[in-house]
Amino acid sequence: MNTRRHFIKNAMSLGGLLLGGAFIFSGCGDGQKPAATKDKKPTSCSDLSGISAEEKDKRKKLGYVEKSPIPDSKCGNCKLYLPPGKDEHCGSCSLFKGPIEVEGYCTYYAPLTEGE
Amino acid sequence: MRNTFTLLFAALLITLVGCKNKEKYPGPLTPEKALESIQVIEGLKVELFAAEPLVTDPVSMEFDEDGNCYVVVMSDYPNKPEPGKEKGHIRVLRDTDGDGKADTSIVFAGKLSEGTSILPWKGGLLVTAAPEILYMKDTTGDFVADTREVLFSGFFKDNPETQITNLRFGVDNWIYANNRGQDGNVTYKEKPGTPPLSVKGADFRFRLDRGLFELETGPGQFGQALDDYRNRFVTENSIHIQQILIPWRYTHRHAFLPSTRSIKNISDHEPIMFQESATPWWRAERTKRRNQEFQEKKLKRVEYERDHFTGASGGTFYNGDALPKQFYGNIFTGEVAGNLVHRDILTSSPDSVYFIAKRPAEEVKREFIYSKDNWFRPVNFSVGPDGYLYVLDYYRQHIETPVSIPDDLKADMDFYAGSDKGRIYRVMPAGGTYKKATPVLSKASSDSLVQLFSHPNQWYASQAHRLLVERQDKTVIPALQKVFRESADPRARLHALYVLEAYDALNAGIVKEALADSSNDVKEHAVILAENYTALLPELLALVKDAPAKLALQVALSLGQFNAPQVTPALVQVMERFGYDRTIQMAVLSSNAGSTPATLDALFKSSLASDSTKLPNVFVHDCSYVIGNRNNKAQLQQFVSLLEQPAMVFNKRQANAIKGLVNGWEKSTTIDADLKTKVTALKGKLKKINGETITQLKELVASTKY
Repeated sequence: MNTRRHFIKNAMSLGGLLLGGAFIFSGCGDGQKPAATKDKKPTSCSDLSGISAEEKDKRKKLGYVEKSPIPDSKCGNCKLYLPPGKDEHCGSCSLFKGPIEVEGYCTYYAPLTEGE
Repeated sequence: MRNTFTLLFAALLITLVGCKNKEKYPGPLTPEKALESIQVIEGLKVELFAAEPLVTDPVSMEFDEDGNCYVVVMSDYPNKPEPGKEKGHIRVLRDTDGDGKADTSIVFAGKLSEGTSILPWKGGLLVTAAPEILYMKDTTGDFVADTREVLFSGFFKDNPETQITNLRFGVDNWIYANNRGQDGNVTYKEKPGTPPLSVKGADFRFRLDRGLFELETGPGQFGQALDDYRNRFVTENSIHIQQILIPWRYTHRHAFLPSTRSIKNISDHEPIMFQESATPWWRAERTKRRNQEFQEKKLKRVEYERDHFTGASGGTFYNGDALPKQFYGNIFTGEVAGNLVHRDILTSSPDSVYFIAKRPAEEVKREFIYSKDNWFRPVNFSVGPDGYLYVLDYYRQHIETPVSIPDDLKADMDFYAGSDKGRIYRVMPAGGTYKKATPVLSKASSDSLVQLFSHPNQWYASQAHRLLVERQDKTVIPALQKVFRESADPRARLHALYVLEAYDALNAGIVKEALADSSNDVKEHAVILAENYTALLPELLALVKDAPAKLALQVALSLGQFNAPQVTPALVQVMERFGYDRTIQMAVLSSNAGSTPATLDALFKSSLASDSTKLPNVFVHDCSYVIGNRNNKAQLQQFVSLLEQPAMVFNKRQANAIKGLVNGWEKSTTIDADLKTKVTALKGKLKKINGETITQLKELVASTKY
């Protein structure tokens, strides 16, 4: 018997399942870039005041230092480094959030190769 | 009921479509199927030596002097194991029936935190396991280590991909290890009173027979190949082969060089690899995002998702005898992201201080080994007593630093998929059958070990050399001298020379003979050994005249160890021959005798006065930088007196000299604050150098008070 109550119940069930499916779908990775968090602009490249504790921990784990110990291997010539954009004072890194010194270094340094 | 079923079916469909990513990453192949997927160049074949469950996650394999095969298992990668829960270990693999396949596996040492490399030593194994270098030994004959001591400690330990690793015994009696320049303060068990050695920026080398340890030029990552003459080549993720040019002990003789970097990418080919496997989904997606970022930043930069070296690993020098002769001296490098093995042929020329690494003719458009199986991860290699080339396949679904992958992309990645698997392959001639080797060198007489120096499989020579160093059996000195003087094989002569060195049995006479050796490779080491004999300075000076570039580089470096008036003119002579080469320039500048105003003066009075190729502006700049950085008043005064010399005014040298001096002076560690302020002010005016600039510089030098 196809009553309105049945219709609503079925619709809700389907909706729930669709939602579940969508949840699983999104859990599988939709290839979309997660929305970037709006970081506070740093006052200097050592200023981590706008950075979460987790991100600070990450840069520590990756061995980031503001002055490279290895001659000619520094963030400035690393392929993971992004130079400062317009109106930006500091560069950034693909591996963790926050400002980066161009003379810095981390243990994941990957040299820019010719043509990059 | 039917409606409920329909709804469930619809939801399942949605889920299946949505979860297509379950198929993003193919599953593993059995060892047999994986072997079938491996394609090697014509004339060779690949056989399976060992697979799970006998071995998993292999990263390093070495054979001891009796042919026992040890494998380092690195199960904890990519994460750091909790103390007490380490899964990493070392196994002994045994082929008891001689069929070429391992049939027995024994855990030699368990609970190993991030072990990555081993080296046989005195009946046991040296093991790199950051933050330590350990020594483990089985004293009961059951292949289980029952002693474990820490020899060196204090190395960096927070990135399993870039830690102390790749132990290699060099013909010069030093054991070399890559440290990737990581920070650390290293202590040695046998020298408890010695201050910790900061290894920041360097690789590492040590001698257990002499209790020595020191910094070495790098940085090497995972892969260190030492050739028969101890030329050193290192692997880095995206630069698959680099040569170390000048050892650390020379580049740091004084602290004033503008740069001490002395490592060279020697590949003559594009960093392209011929990848046959599919691009993993996460990688394609990550690259897309990164390139998007580059475009947003308006960078002229492109990241490649495939076909370019990004996971080069385990560069190994092949000096065995089971493969055809053309493979001898090649360097094999794994590429774990491309699921392939790359081969380089090394070539040298008399005009170059470094080798050139070329693709072989048959591999211009393909790789030495490739597989379409994404799980094939050739991380390292080994050459053993049987002379074959072994390939260590880590066999993991993913091999990447998790932190470098965005969270949403790695949500469905299992970084330990395959940690229960691992394969070791043997590369051999296509028409050949496996020939087992059964060395028992531990029981061999010292005299018979000396005879192994010219063995066609240099594994035997290297083991014999090491055993003789360990034994300190000086009764073989006459036999060593005989091999040194009479062997037709330069490799054997060099082994003999260095075992004599290990026995303190060298003298000026023997080294003088070595300086006259027919092989430039032997001569190069003789030049190093001659540094200990002032009486041999004339022989070194004589070599400057016609030594090829690579030998001349060592002569220039070694001459800098002598405190004699003939050194500077000899270094000028080296510049007259090879001054165009940046490494030669650094070698000259690395010594005090090659980096003073007197050096510049002598160069300006030489045939190079108006030669901008062999006395380039960059050398004038760097030499001036050193003079400024040294901050010695007498030298500063002598420097400014050279500024108006005709040869200094030639081709903008003067401007380069002034800039160099001011740059170096400003960075001097001995400059006082007031003077530094004045030097910085002068630096600000160097965009336009004229007579006034020179006057100001002279006044500044004259006003210095020390």
